Amino acid sequence: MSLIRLCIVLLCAVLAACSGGNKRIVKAPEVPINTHPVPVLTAAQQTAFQNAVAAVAAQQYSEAEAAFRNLLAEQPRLAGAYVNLALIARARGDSAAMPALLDKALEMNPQNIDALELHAHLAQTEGRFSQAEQYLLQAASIAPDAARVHYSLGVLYELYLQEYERAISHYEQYVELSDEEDTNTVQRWIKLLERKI
Amino acid sequence: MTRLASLMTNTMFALLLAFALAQSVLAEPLPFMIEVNNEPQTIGDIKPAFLVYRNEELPKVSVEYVMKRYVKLFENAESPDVKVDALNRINNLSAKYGLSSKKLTIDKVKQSEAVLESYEKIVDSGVFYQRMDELLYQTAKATLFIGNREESIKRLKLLVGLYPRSALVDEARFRMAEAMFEIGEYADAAAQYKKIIAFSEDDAFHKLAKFKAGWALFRESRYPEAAKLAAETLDYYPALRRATSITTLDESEQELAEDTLRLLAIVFSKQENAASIETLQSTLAHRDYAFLMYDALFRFYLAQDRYEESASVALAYAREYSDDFHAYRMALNAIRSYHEGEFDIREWQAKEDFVARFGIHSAYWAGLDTAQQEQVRPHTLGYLSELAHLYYIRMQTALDQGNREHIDAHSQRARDYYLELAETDPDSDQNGRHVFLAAEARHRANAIQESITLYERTAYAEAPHADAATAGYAAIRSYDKLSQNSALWSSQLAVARVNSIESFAERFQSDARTPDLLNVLANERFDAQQWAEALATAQRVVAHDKAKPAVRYASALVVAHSLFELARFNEAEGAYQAALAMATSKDRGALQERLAASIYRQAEQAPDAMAQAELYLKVVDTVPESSFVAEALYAASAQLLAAEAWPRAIATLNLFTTRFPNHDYQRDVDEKLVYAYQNNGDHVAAADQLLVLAKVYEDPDQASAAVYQAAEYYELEGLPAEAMGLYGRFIDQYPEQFDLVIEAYDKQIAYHDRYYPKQAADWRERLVAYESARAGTTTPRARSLAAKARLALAEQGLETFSAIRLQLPLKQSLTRKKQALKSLVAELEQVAEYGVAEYSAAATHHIASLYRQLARDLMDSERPPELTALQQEQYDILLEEQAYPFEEQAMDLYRLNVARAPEGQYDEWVQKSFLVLAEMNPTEYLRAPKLPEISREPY
Repeated sequence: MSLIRLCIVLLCAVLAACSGGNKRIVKAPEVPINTHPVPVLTAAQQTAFQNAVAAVAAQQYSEAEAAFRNLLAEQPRLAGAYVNLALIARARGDSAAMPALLDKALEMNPQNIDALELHAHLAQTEGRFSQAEQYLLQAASIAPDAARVHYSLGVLYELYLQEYERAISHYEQYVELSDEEDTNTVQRWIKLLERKI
Repeated sequence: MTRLASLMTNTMFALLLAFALAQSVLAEPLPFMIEVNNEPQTIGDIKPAFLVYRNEELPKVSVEYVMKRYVKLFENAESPDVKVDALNRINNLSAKYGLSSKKLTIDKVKQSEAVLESYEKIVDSGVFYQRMDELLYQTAKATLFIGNREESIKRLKLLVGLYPRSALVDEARFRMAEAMFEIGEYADAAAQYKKIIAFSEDDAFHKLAKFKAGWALFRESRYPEAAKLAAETLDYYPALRRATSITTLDESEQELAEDTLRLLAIVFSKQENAASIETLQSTLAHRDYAFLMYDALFRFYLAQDRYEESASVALAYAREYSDDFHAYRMALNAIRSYHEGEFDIREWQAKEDFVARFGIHSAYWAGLDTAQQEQVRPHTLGYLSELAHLYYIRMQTALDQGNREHIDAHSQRARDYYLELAETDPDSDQNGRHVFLAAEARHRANAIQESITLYERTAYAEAPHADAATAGYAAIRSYDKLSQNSALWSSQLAVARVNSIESFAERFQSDARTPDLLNVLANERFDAQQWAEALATAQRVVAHDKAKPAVRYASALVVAHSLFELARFNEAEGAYQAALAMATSKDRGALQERLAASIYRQAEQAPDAMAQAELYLKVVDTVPESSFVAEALYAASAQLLAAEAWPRAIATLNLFTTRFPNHDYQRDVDEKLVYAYQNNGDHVAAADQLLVLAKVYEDPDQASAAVYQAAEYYELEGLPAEAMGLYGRFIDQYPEQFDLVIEAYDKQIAYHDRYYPKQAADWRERLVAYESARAGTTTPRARSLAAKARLALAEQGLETFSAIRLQLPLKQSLTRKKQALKSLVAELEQVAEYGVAEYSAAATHHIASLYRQLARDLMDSERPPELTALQQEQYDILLEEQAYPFEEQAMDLYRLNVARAPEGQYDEWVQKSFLVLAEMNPTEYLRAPKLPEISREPY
């Protein structure tokens, strides 16, 4: 009895979410236009960037950070450098430092997909689901073929916004676009979701 | 008559001499030829010795010597011719050189006797028969001379009869008329005179004959004829036409003209005076001699001291000939007559008439040219002056005698004359004085308003003069007098009075009365709330070097008060200081108050809080005893607080408390002190002050708020024990302060959690109970705190639940555990009932976890040792069947929690539920994020 009572109480609170489905109107993402010219790197700078990326991959974060900062001193518009600095912060467990770096990256290149994905993830972990949705939809409209973005949108809609039709749609695009091995798993998720609708 | 007789005699004698002279000249042959060789035979041969050379000087022989020689010749000559010639020469020289001493001339009787004797001899000798007319004439003359008029007349008649064509007939006839006149036969004389006029061809006798004929007819009392003849005599002198004087004539002619006018005067006097003049003039058909005749008649009477008649004649002319420029002279004559005759009343009347008839307002004056006006003006001025003074004195006398009837009349006359006097001579430096006297005259007759106009005119419109200031002051005094009578007073007059004072002050700036007047005006303007005007006026008084101390002080007050009213408080402050320097002890208190008010008002107007505060404090420093001090201290503290000058604000507020402990503001001051202490970081002091306030507040809301805030301050200052004491006191004293009581409980819980955790549950229960008891008035915050407390209380049971081990015999232990579960779930459900999402999620998660824990504990429970492997397997299946529903229940509850996420609730408990679900059902809930590990694109 008590459990049923509790369920009723709690159901009242979450009714809207369960029954909402696809009825929620999602604002079309505003895709920012990149007004800045794409920076042209010298050969040395390109090499320096690749070396820095390699340092990240090797978890040599200090060296990587220093290299990216040096590059930024020469080429302030390197959005990729800012994104990597954000990833280094994340790897160091300093998530708080990420938003400013990601904002900087988007300031230099509003269409940087990596920055948008990372921003979306930060928003999602903090419960700012609408913001996460917007970042990801922007990314999807900039790069409609980015499988990972559809995956992330699928997760967001499935777990946190609990809009299963949208989740199915994005999972399906992931399955279609992705060349990873987990597409069968995702297809199972689609089936599970289809049962929930 | 005597004079006329003398005239006649002289005339006749002169004629005789002229005649003898003429004879001698005619008889003299070539008088300028020198005949050296011829000895003189007769007197006629004796010639004056002349030198040949005409440029040489005449011989030095004196006339006296020559005449002596002729006299000697006359006395010694035997021949009648020589004697007559000598006589002629003597008379000739005597006349020419003006020598008339007895030694040099011949006695007239001797002359006549000589002439007569000589001519008798000539007649007897018959030598001169061809000149008998001359001889008859000479003998007639000589006969007359020795006194035999009848004989003389006979000879003359004989001459006229025998020699009617003789050149001597006119003279003979004249001489005959004269002789007739002399013996009183006037009609015959007149007839003879007229014959001369009628028949004589020689003009020389005409005018004299006419004159004499007039005389003769006058003697006959035939006045109109006499007058007409006299007037016709004047016709011989064209210069006399329309003349006012005979002086235009040659001296030799003046005598007869004057005699003729005198004759006319006599004739008129015998008739009807001026009327007769007019009658004569109508006969003459002209008025050319009017002035001369009137003048003659006037003088005629005046010479006889007949003043009234003379004046009457003069006035008649002035009246009848008012268009004549010279009429004024006649009017002057009249006045002179009255004066000489001492006819005072008539003289004054004549003077009044004079100025009326000839003054600048007369038609007469309008007809004059400038030169003429300059002749009349001095007379008019003189009389106007006399008349003005006369009436002034009369008015004064009437005043002294209390003769009301005459006061005003005399005053008006005096005024009129004074004003006309000024008008008549606009350039006179006396005009100011005259207009002043006119004003005085009207003022004394109580014509106040009119006198004001005149006073102002003489004070300001006339050239500066000695009485100007007096007049200006009198005008103002007159206004004041008028203002006493409301029936006479008006707003226009009030304005005029002010203007008058302003005029006085401007014109007579250095006058000692000026500051007095301006002071009055300044005070009046102040009373009328004309602040700016009052100020300007009073400032002039204060600056005046002749202002008396009392006056200066009075105006200094106006200055200060006006500045205050004009909201020029800074200047007012200075002005009150200045006034205080002059003030009497009586006034000092009030002025001190105003001084304080001036500074206080400046403070109110100061641009910023700090400036205001300084000025409010200046009130306190400058006038420490002022009634404004409390207000000033209070206001200063408020501004210091606004300026965030905390230490000074605190000092000021404490000073207020010291000086005015029982003031109405005291409570507010205490509150401000709290605020100041608080902002100054003096939290303990603020708290102490709040507790003081809490005791005096009658309003429980205020009192409780004070206690609560005091507690907060202690807490802030790191004095938690004191703070908790106060919170506890608050909970006990003010249970109705729901919100704060709830907070106080929360504070207690937090404090006890930290320092005395064992007692924390007790405070939580109290909080829950308190909130529960007031569920009807609860607030979201209270519900949240109550839910939080209740959750915490429930969480205490979680460990107990975990500690209950499911061991054999399972039934008992399971029952115990289920009992514990039931109890815990009930408590957690109550948490959920608060409807506070955060704590509901926690409770849900806890309940789910309890079910999951029970399912796990069942699976992990102690197995009966005696079971076989198969039995053991069946036992496990049995346990799974028991545990599974609990696990499902747990999952359902976790799902409920994660269902909160789309609504934005993603708190600790929702996240935990997600994690547990991912663990329990990874297929459905485990979603590994896919994120870029490295960003390979530089841009």
